Amino acid sequence: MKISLASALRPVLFAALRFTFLVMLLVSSSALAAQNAANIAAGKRLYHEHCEQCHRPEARGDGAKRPALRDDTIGVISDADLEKFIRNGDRRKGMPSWSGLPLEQRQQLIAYLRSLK
Amino acid sequence: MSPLKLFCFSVLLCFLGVATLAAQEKPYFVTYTQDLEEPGNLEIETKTAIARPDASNRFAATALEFEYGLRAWWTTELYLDGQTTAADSTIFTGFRIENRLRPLNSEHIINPVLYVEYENITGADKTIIEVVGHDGQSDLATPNAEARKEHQHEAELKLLLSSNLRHWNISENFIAEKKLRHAPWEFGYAIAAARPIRAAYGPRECTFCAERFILGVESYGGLGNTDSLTLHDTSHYVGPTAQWQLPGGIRLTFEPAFGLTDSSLNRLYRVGVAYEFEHFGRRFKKEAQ
Ligand code: HEC
Repeated sequence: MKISLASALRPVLFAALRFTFLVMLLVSSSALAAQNAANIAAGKRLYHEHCEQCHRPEARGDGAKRPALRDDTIGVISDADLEKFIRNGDRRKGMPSWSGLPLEQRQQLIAYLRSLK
Repeated sequence: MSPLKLFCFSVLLCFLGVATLAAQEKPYFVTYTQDLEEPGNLEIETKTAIARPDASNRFAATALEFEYGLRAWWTTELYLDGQTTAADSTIFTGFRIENRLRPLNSEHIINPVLYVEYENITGADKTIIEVVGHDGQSDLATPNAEARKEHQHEAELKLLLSSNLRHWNISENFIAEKKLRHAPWEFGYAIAAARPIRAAYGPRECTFCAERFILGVESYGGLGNTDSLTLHDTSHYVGPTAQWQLPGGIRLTFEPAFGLTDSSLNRLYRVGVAYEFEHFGRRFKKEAQ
């Protein structure tokens, strides 16, 4: 009697587990998406305050010395290299260093630039 | 021009601007960091020092600063100084021209900046933009009519060292100053550290949120001169400092500093108001076309 109850419950248990797993996945991925959206919005604010004057609205570049920064042009660079470039700048060619911004803000800037397609 | 007029002039200039800019500036009054002005941008700032020497009346001295980014590695600056002393007078006390150069192209753990300044000020200057040699509160107690007769042409060199670590900026400045006639070199220092209350930006525009406030601590003082390289009779100050970066590009900074020796002022309050204009140089070019 006992054995048959356990074997009857097993599929129910598995289904419940699978359901919980799916719900957790959904919740965490939507939390991640919300976090990413918040970072993109924060990055947009930062871009407007610090970068737009040279790289122009929507990072389209000024057609001369200040390049476009949209994903299709900087797409090949890894986030880590991009962060390093923004931190260092290239003063001799007119790109200031942004090491004075906290690391988190440089990462938010990258999230924004990556969202421009 | 009186400090009041200087102040009104700078506020007027502020309203001519249209850009919303935030700078990487830190809440320091004496210490310089590695951060230079972005090329083409002009920043106008008033730095006011308020104090009362033991043997004299309360004064407020303002330095009106025009800071321009000539290149990403070269910032140049003009200061116009003035002061008003209670029960005395309000006077213009001179000007300073200063250049800051970054010799290295990329960032390091410690970043050097070379600073060269020419000063043409009178003995009545009380802006206390730096403390060197045996500067002390007694220098600030001479009546204006007498103090302004003394003209000082000075050259000043500074080695600025600064580090931006994750959220913190830490800066150390070494100062060497010389009157252009026969006088000893005078030395001084300034050190400071600061960080924003919150490192990451929020998604929405805000006025009072934590990312808009930077807190820090600053200390500066004299280290004697080549004739008497001693800490005896030197002034030293330390105090907390706070900056609020308002949306729209205005920065307000406040620092109460406390004197640590008998020669120091007991308390020295500083207030700064700054505004940055983007691509100032280019505007003139456009108008000329
Ligand atoms: C004063 C003008 C100026 C400002 C402000 C400025 N940049 Fe630049 N930026 C430049 C110039 C000039 C270059 C080209 C440098 C070079 O050729 O090495 C550049 C290059 C870049 C590059 C490399 C692009 C490529 O395809 O090689 C990135 C990434 C970048 N900037 C990001 C930023 C970010 C992020 C900000 C704001 C935090 C910013 N820049 C602010 C002038 C500016």
